[in-house]
Amino acid sequence: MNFRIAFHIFRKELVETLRDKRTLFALFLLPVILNPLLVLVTSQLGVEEMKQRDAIKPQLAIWGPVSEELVSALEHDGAKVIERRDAPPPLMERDVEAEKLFAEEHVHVVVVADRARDAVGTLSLELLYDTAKDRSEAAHERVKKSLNQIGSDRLTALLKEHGLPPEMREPIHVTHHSIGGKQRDLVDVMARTIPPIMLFIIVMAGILPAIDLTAGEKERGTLQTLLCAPVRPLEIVAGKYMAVVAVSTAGTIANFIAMSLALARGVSTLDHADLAIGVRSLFAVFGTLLPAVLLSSALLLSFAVFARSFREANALLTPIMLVILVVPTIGSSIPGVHLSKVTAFIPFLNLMLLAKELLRGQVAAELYLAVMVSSLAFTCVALTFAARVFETEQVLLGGERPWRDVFGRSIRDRATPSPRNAVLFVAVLLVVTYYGTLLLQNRSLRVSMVAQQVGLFLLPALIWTQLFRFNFRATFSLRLPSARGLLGGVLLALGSWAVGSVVFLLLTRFFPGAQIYNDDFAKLLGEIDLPLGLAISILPAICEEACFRGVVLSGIGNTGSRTTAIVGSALLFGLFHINPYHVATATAVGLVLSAAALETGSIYVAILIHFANNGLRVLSTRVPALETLTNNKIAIVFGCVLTACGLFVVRGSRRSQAI
Amino acid sequence: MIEAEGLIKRYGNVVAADDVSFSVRPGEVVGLLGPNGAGKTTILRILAGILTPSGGRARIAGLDVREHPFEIKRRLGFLSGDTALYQRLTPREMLIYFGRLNSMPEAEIRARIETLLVELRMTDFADRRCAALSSGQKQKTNIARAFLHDPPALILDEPTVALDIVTGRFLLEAIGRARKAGRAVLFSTHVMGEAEYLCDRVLFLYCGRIIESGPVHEVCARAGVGTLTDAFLQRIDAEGAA
Repeated sequence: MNFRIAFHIFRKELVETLRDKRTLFALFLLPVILNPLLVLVTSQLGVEEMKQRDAIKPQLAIWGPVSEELVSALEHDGAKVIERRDAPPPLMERDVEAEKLFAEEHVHVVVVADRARDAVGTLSLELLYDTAKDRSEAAHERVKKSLNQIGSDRLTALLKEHGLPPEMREPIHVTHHSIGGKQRDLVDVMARTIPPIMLFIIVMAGILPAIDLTAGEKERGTLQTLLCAPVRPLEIVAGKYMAVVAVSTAGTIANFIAMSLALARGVSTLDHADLAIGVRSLFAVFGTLLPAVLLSSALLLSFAVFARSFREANALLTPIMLVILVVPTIGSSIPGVHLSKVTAFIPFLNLMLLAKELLRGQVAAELYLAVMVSSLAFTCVALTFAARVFETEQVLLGGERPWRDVFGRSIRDRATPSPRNAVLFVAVLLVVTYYGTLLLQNRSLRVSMVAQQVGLFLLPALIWTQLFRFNFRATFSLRLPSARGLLGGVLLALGSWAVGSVVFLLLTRFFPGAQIYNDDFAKLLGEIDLPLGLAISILPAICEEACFRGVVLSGIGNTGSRTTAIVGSALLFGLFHINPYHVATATAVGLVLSAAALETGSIYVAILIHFANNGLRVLSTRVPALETLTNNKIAIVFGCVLTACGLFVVRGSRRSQAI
Repeated sequence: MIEAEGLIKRYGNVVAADDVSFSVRPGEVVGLLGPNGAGKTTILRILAGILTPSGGRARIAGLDVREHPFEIKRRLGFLSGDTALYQRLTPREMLIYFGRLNSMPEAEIRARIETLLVELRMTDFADRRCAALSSGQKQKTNIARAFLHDPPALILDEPTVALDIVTGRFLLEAIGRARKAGRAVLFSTHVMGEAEYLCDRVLFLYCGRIIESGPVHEVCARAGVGTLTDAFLQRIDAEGAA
């Protein structure tokens, strides 16, 4: 892929989109005008309603033997008695009678007393009101408050009459104090409401550009014009994708700012200044939901391209949009559903839960990382799908059977995976290893290690190669190295541990946690028996190499760029080591492994180096002299020199220059 | 320069191109003639690398279109009646964009655009948005796009459709100039007069197969008629009867 071409496409798409008045209006102008207007109108209505509720004078009907003293007290509190009956209607007719009164709106609340005060002096009252009528509900609140106060005053008077202290009114005095206060309550409300609103804004902001750049292009007939130029489908996808992401990000930001300002204004109008919205929290949510822009843009783009017109695209994207929006919104609001090792891998729901829990300030770093990595992996899958769609002529030229063309099994004449296929493999592998390791959690170290390496690395690589009918020999570089390649491989096997050591030393200077992690890991390795130590040295060397120097390296190698192949495969190899400290050292060693495999054209060399690295790590926990040696700075420098020599020797040593 | 060898294209059970073979040499204009649905556009799209053939081989400047789909596009100018313009760009912006997609150096793009604007008489509308252009002006912009990277081969699919007589004539003159410049030109048309006026050779396409080919006078002589239109109709009738 030529990134410059992708960038030219991106720039042109952006210019065209920004010149489209319809897009500008829908994405930027509408939210800027509509959001404040909406909030202002609703907050004003709210204020008016609150004023009306406060000003309401309850109109009462009093049925039954209620004392004049109580009636006067109620009237003193602002109530007006419209109707009085000496006895209430029979129980069966009571509601019907009350409803008649409420229907005429003259009466808001009916106060019913079935009998006069009992021997103790307690008066039992029933309040009838209609929740469907605002006035009735507000009046009920007022009357309830008044009656409580009257009761309380009466009790105080009685206590005084009997010479008892007024505190006796409350045998148990309870005060309520929430440590979070109103701010915490507000955060809770925000945590439940803001992520779904933000996701809605993100998805809505991406729809118009996604349709315009795909189905819109087809409708206008310019997609064929573009296909006349020497551009690859991947470059078209990348350019259009970047444009959709840029426009939807800008649209989301515009919406976000307009909404924040309007909300801030709305809250201040409601005279709750102490409930000021935490701008920092909002930005944290926005940052967290940015991967949703990447994922939703990729999804919208890859599905919108199936449509032949704007209208078709709208119809096609509506169900997809509903799934993206409704499922995570409902899922995240179900009580008990929280961010866990399982939900962290469910697209969109994971981001919603992460944003929600970030606002509440309770997210573990591992879960945050898992959500981000899984979202990026899903984005890669969606983009791979988009690229596949863009390769399909039936789709691009509006043919009759676009779906069949995309999902039909294509006959491959390629010996090794394409770069896209390799990225898809990594995304699938990520999901497989994640859930696989969850299943192996409670097994013994021996079982889980063997099952993980063979079942989660080696087997997927073999199945993938067979599934896509790639050539095993070419994909896994199953060739013996040349004599020079072998010599270089031996040098690298002897010295490459030092590369990991250098990275580790650098890490410990800045992050003390690296040393703790390393000590824990060494302790674990020190406790294992010899057969397991051997397995730890050999199995990853074979199984992980099959994945990363096999499928991944051969796939990314098809970009034509050695640097991309080496760095890309090393980075992906590093990422699978999960712990940030281990990721850094594994990436560094991965660079050596990928360079060796690519230059010698043989996976055996990479297996040898990997085995030497792992073996040395296991041995150094048992042989103190080795541990001292690997921590010795002179030995590390010597190891680095050996690595440099090894890399020099392996350079261009492959038997055939196939890649 | 442009070669088709046993080209086959199937859409499900429909065969749009059936064992089609021909070639166009540098400095030669070849016309592909056929009724609607004969498979002209399919064949031209295969040659332009937009469609993948189901069988056979197609080569542009010696490069196989299936193996080198991107390299062949650098050596080819493709123009069709339905290749539209970006409505929100100006002709100049559009040409710059396609120059960049063809990986041309910036200075060369600017120089080539200035030449084409003058040559195709586009200077007064070069900076107006394409949405505001007339059909003729749009087609001129499309011609400039196809000629921009100075390709040795041109494939033109009914390029004069919907053009007025003046612009149509202008396009035919441009094709004539391309021939003089040594370019190989393959073009399809419904207008027999255009083919007679321009083509060194013609190919009659019917139901995805080539049923007649040769220089215009030879085709007419074989049919025993005086005009290409009569020769075409006679051949089509004969095929229909068979």
